[in-house]
Amino acid sequence: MEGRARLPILAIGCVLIAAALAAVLAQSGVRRTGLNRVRAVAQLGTLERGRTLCQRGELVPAGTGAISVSLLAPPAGGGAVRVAVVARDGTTLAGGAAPAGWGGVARTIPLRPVLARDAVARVCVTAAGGGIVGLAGEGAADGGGGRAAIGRRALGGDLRLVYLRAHAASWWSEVATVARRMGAGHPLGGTALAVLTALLLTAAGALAAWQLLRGAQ
Amino acid sequence: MAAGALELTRTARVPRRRRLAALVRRVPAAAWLCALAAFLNATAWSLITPAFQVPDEQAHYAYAEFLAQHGRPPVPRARDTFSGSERAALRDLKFATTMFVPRNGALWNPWEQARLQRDLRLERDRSGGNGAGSALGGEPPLYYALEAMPYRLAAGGSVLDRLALMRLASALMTGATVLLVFLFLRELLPGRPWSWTVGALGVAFQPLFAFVGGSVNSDALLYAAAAAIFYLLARAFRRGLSVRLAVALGAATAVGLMTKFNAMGLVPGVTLALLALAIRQDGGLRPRTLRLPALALAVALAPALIELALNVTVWDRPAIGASASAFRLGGDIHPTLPGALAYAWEFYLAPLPGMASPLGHLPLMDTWVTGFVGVFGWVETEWPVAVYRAALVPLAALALLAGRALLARRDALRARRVELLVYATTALLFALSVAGASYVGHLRDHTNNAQARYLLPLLPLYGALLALAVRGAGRRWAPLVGAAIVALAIAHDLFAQLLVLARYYA
Repeated sequence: MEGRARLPILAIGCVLIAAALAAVLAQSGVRRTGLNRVRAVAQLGTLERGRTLCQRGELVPAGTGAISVSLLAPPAGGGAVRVAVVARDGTTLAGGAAPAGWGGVARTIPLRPVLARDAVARVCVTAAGGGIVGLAGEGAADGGGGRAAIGRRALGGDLRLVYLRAHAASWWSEVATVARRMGAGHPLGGTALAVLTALLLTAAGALAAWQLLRGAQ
Repeated sequence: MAAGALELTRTARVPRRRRLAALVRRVPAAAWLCALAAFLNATAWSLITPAFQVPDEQAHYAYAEFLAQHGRPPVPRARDTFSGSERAALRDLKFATTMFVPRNGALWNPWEQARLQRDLRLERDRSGGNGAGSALGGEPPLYYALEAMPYRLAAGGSVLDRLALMRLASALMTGATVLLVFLFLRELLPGRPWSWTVGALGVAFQPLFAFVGGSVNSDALLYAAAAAIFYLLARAFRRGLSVRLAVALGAATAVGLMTKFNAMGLVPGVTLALLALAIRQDGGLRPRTLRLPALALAVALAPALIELALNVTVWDRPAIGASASAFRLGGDIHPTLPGALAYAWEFYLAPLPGMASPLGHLPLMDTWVTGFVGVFGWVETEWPVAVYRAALVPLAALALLAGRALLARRDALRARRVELLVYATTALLFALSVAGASYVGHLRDHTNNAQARYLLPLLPLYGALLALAVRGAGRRWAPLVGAAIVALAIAHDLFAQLLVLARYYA
């Protein structure tokens, strides 16, 4: 088992790992810009045609170009839904609509324009057509009214909202964002932490490869 | 006179230092390098995994903090309470809404991050709380006493600074485990040094092991203690049981027993091994045959007895900590041996007709294989099912190659059948003890404690499987198989880290 015999095998292994990594990171998908951390574990109520639900105190991140709202479609399929992001002074920062004919437990609605900066806002959802839509979220932890309300009627909880980018993108394009998020509360900060992690992994992998080549002395 | 005493101390120290240096030199460089690779990998995991997003890490941190602040282990309580600084960190990190919710990532929002930084600076209380008295109050204190050192080193920092340094201490224990796995393989399978490297590296890059090793969790030290036990047993089977080896085996078992209750599951196997070794050495069972096993067990149990005495006299804890754990017997539960055996069968394999199925229809695949291939975070961060199914192919290939190696050397195997039987029995008894602990919990409150990490003290045997697979490939194909095993292990680990990154940060 000479080191020479292992070298091409290891080289092939490294190339395969690098190729698989590149393929995974090139996968395209709509990435999240944020979420309100509410779990969709309860039905908060229903939204009838023409009614609007508003949820106050939402932190809508910059770059958001769509919102995924936890809505339960009726058996015949969901009707058209409109959504609006409304600033504290009543200005509509962004809005959008999705046509009828959807199913499942969440509806993604594109927003225009894409939010240029972070905003603390109300997110309002209107059932613009079709049957009654179920609202999925979580009861208020303090047993109070929660942040979601239809008109003046509080629903006793919060609706789950996920903020998304407008277009699909590869993981490569998210590397800087992921690195920044990794640094939350860490003394090194995000980018340095990501670089250090990559260096550690490379060093561990290189050590392993070297070990295989030199054999146990 | 003082100068003379100093001189005496110096001369006593020099040989000891030389002995230590000689001991270190006797360990092959390859073993150190495998250990270093494991340490680096576990450190990377410690940076990737968000704070407290490893099972029970908040409780392990609280125990270590309590011990560092009060100089004693916590007392079992009805519910866990934490210090003000840990509470603030858990609140601002959105701990409760992140664990068990795979679709909720870690902190992303700049406002939330700013609030976390501010609160970490402002909230200074460290001595409040009961040290996770409910989750861990009865557990032995060794791991936490070791973790109190990095805790104190980072005393001026925040909760997250201390946690980061404490995770590094666990990563060091992970490196030690891999070093001991290498040494175990060297004793177990002499003759093909390269296969030791493959086995040790396969363990070093096992993602679940590295994930736990990169966190604050007493399992990290238990794994090292178990690896030491396997190494010393293999050494004793190869070279004979000496007084020094008996003491070392006792010490390794003591480390396990002082680390986590689960180590109790290794004691029957160690006892059996000691008896087998002593009988083989003496050519039969006589009273003096029991001398070395008794010495080893005395060394193993002595610290636990000291802890028991301290529990009663100084610490005001129940004499036996396990009696206050979630697995305590007594009260209105009535465990039976047939019930325990039936539960163990269902726990690992599959329910038989007429049996209940506490862990689903195929626990062997759904819990154990899946868990070993990798389920991260609070046991909720998973790959698609197809990945676990695909993993069966290399696992089966490894088993076949290892089986081939054993078949090819069946004559040598016959000569070492007692030794192999001891390893198999040790593994079986340990696995039964894990199932037994879960059985008690199941009777008490219908919960099942089935996580693959509980079986990782048996990792040295996994390393042996990998090393055997290399041998099973034959001389011609061994380089290909060995390199493929390590490359696959590294790829497995790398993609597990990507999975965790995607779950928390994307």
